[in-house]
Amino acid sequence: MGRNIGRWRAMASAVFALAVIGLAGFALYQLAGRRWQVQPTFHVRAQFESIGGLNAGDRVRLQGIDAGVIERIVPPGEPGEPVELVLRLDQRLKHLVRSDATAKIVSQGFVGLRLVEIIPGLASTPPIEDFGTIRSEGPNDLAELMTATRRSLDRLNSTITEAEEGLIQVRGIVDSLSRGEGTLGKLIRDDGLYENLASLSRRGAQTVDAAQENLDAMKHTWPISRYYDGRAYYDRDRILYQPGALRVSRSLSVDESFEPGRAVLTEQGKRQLDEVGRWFQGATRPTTEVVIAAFTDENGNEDRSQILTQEQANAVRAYLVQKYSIDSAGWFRGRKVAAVGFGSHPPGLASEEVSQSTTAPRRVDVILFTPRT
Amino acid sequence: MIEHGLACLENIGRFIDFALRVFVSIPVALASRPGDVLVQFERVAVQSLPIVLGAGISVGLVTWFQTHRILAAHGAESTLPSFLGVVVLVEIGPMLAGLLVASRMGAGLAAELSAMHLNEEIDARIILGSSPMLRLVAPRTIACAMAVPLLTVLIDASALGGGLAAELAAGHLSPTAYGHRAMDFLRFSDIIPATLKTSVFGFLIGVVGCWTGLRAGRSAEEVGHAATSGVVRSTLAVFAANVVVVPLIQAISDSVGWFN
Repeated sequence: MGRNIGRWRAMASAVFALAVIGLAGFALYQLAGRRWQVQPTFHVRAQFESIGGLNAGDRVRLQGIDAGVIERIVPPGEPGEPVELVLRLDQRLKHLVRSDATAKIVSQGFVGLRLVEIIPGLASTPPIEDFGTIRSEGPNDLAELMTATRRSLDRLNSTITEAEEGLIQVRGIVDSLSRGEGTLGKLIRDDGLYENLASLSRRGAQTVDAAQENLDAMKHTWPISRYYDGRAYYDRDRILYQPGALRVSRSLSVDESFEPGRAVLTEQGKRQLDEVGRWFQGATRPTTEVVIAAFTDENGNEDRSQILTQEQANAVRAYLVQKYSIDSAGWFRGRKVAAVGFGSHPPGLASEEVSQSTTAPRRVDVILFTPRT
Repeated sequence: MIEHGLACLENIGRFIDFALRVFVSIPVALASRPGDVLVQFERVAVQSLPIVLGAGISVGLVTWFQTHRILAAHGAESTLPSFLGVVVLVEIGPMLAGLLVASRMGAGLAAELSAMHLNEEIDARIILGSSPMLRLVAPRTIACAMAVPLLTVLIDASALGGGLAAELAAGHLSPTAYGHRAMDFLRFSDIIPATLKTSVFGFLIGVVGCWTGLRAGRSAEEVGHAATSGVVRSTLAVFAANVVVVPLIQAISDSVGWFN
């Protein structure tokens, strides 16, 4: 055929081809730049237990800056060894990567794009050398995240439960206080106790302890301590355990002294208390303390037996105070008379003394504490 | 039935023989007939410019409009260039270039050669001692094999340009950010083989088109028939080659360890 095209058309074709090749070359150069293949770079190594599906060529960031790519992935030589990533990073960022820098595998965006994030180390440590190994943190797997979330939710739950229990206790104490005198209510509102209560939601059970401590302190402060003495409101655990005092006690059987299941004294019970009252009239030292402690066995409802023993102790106290005035040790001298129902739970601190006195669980102890000093 | 199957088998054998002879004659043709190659190249590449650019821009615009809505619903519209870049450069661009050239040149080559066959030009060339393989088929095949990769680059560029135009008109990314994001997921191991594989498409288009034209009967109707089946066969050849070549490329780049 021998057909030839003209010079200009041939040149146009050549220009077209070269232009397209140039375009492709430009694009490849840009891409190479995006992948840190044409800029000066340096390398670091990072070892991971699992690389979470990363590929060679995935991106590396330093504080969120696009900083390089994963150059290659070195599989472990033996089972149990970590996978090693060789990262190619921008030379201009080298001064930021210190020898205590940390590499971390993170997911990004809703497509879950994985990349390596480098957290630069402290400025005081030297920059890392080429191909040096930096520390690593494992990938934040969704499964791991879920487990961690569940764990912290559980902890939160138990804290809330504790806080609720604490709140109930505190409310009980506060209620019993506010039922008393108006000045007390004011004191509570003004005191640090109020702040403690407000911060309860943050500190949960700790706050309860603090509040109880404050209450204890208040109980031993002068005008209020009178109130508590009158109400026989004591630290239940401490009241039976007074190592510094002489302990003398009389025991009454609940079955004999009270109508069954009630806090009403029987005739026999009254006779027994008359004996006790006469014994007390001999003890006139003013600093003595009387504790009336009622116990019962473990049969029956715990709350019920708690209330019942308290009422029984109160009944004994009322009888003794009315008939024998055991709350006064002579003219103008008061004597503490505490009535405490322990239900079926004898206090732990005084368990030795309590079990020494008698073995019958259903009883009322009338104890006289005489300080030795 | 059996005869038909045997005839089919014979045809496949002849086609493979034809393709191998074309392949062998390529260096000879390049050395001895560069002028013919250039003419054909101008015809395949330069004259395909409008359709290729139009197709590319259209793909970019439409893909942008279709995906932007979905990605915006997830608040991820800024990842659109990343996806567009991968989709266009890795698959749509090469495929579209192959199909456009197949539909344009498959018909053209088959009709041209079957017309030459009809008016006994090819017989005359053989009598004159000029090899139709060297003078007609090889230059056309070379031109196709060279042109399709270049057209692929143009389609890629124009599709990304179309996406950028849509982004500038209706999106919020700057051209620089668009360019950066478009290269987010691109790897050389993906795009270089994807672009170069279109050479195979071009070679097949040339061979299938010429073979269809040369084997057409001697009638005006046969010319039209050859043109139709030239398009169908070369398009099918492109699809089939894509299916074969892509796993091959992946296997090779895996075994070489080329991941960048």
